[in-house]
Amino acid sequence: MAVQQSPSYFGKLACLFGFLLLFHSGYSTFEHLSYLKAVDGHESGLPTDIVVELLVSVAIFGLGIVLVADNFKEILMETEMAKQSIESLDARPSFYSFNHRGRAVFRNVVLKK
Amino acid sequence: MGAWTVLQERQAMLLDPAIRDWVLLPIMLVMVLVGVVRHQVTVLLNGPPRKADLKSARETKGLQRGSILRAHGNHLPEYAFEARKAYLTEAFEKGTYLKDPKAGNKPKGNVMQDPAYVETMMDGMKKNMMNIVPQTVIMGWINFFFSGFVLIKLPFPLTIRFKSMLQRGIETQDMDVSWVSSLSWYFLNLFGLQSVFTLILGSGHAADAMRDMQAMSTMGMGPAAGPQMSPTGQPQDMHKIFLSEKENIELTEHEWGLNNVETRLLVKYGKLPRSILVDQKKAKAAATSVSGPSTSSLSSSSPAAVAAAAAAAGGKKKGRRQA
Amino acid sequence: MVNAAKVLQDLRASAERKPDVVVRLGKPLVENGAVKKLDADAWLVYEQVAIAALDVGDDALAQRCIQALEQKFPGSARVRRLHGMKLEAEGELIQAGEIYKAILQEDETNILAAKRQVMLLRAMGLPSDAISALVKYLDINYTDFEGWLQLADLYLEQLMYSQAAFCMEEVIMLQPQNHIFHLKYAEILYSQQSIGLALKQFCRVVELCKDHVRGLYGIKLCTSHLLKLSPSKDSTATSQEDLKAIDLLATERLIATYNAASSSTKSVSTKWIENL
Repeated sequence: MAVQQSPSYFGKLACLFGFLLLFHSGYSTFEHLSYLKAVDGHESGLPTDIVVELLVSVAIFGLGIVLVADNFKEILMETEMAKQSIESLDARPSFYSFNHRGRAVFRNVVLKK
Repeated sequence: MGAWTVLQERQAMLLDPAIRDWVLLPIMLVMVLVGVVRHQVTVLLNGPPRKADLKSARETKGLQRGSILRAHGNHLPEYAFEARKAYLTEAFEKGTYLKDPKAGNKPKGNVMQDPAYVETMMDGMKKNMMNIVPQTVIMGWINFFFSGFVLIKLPFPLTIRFKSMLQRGIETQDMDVSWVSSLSWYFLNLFGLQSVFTLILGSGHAADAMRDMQAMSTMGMGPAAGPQMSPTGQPQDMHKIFLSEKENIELTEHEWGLNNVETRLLVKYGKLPRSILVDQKKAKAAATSVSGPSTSSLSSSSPAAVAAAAAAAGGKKKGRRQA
Repeated sequence: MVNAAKVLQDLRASAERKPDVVVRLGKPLVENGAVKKLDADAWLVYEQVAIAALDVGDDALAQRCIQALEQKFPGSARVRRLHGMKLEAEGELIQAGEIYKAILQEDETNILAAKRQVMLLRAMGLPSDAISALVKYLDINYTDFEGWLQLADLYLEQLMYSQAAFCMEEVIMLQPQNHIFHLKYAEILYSQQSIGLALKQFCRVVELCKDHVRGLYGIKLCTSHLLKLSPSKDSTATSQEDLKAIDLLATERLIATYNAASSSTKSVSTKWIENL
């Protein structure tokens, strides 16, 4: 996946470019329709160049999104579960007890830093 | 392109841009602002979240014990499951978890005097008021000021039936149904602005669940405390619920999930073919159907049947392996 | 700064107890005020750093965090419980007890204060009182798996294995997919000498989490014990064939796992495994 190496710049650029093209083609459509209304011609579908611009913008936008998106998470619950360490067994944050040696052991170490 | 042409042969009307400036945008703006104000007022009216009642919480959690046992009991060995089953059936029967053990004797008529019940009713009514009042006001405002003209053209075609609803005030026969009045713009906004509100106000905003609740019942359901209510408004009889849960538990059979865990593990690592599991299942099904008619009790966990089934399954399993 | 906040957030999510890391990362954040840039997370970080500071004995830092929280949320029960925890850490157990009792009088459903009371009783050296208080708490809040885990630990300290096994069963019912809880249950069963049952549970652990080394070791211990006994007549027990197959599998997986380790570790562990 060599393309993944620069997700920030190229991907974001592609997204931006795709969005601009999309916006431009939308605006062109609007202008085209108002022109037709002004000229009183009957609407015969969008001109080809607008359609092509639209499809190209979708393709570029799609490329950009794929590059910018995060890595996939695993489907199997097993792989997520495997990351759980056995430390989580003894953690129990609401049940912490403070009468342990850590208070004496760490006191001098931390304060001196 | 042919079909496209046909579609476009609809009526083309030129609307005054002033309509867009002075009707379309203002209606939308007003609705957004009213929504925000309504949210804040609801928050103010509701006050701080009500404190949960200890006994009610215990009651609900007690009921959950039954459902959790039924759902996950297969992870426990049989003696553990049976012990819990016996304990829970006895507890539910005796009503150990009930909030108010003497409640069964109270006459059901004086429901209004139960303070918790009244509170829940008031809650529901408040929420409804907060919904109905702004809606009525805005609809009246729109009908008064913005009626009699066409506002927008919907981008999709509609059938004739919608004409009377969407074009109220503009009685023409030939106009396309896609041209609609301001009231329909109001309705569009009503449903469409939900996501905008979620964006502005965060996910817990007052207008959110309102939609469904309005359609449902006039009784709201309090987030924390209120006693359990059925939609008809009668306080439910918790004892009956406990009894039905008890019956569910009694009917549950225990099938230990770890009966063939060794085989499953070997299959998982590829030491044994997956077909072994299928064979085991078939053998067990055959064994229980053989011993089924001979047992008459509800639970199929009589020791003889279990031993016979396991022996049959074991025998079949060994047979396959040697083959 | 962003990295520190991310690490703290991850630690909050995984609930691991690493006070040295938290204090090392959080102390500069708190002291130079950068924590305020985190907006809503800032108060969670204050709480996290306060608790970690109590763990390492840095009472001044804890006091600073608690004061910041108190300024923002005056009269909050959560802040008062932090204050109580600080008193506990300093050894003023009676005063801490007073605070918790006051919180519970105002609001009898306050979970945090009830839990602290249990730990207070344990810190005072009254384990049976702690156990009964926790049992009463769990009678009301059945679905709190943390509470059940703590009760299991309290029982284990008193060497009451069957009660601890009961608690672990409840935890497993509440979170059936978590292999760590199955592991603890298996180890309790092994300590109770129910080796057949323990073997099945260890198999379940490895089934839920492939190649879990501690589970594999558990399997090895159980199978080596069971293979020495004569075949049991109990039809629900594991057959001899299965035992041998599982034993072989466990050995193989363990050696495969240690393949990646350094050669000295590898040789020692391989020798030990094969001699089991």
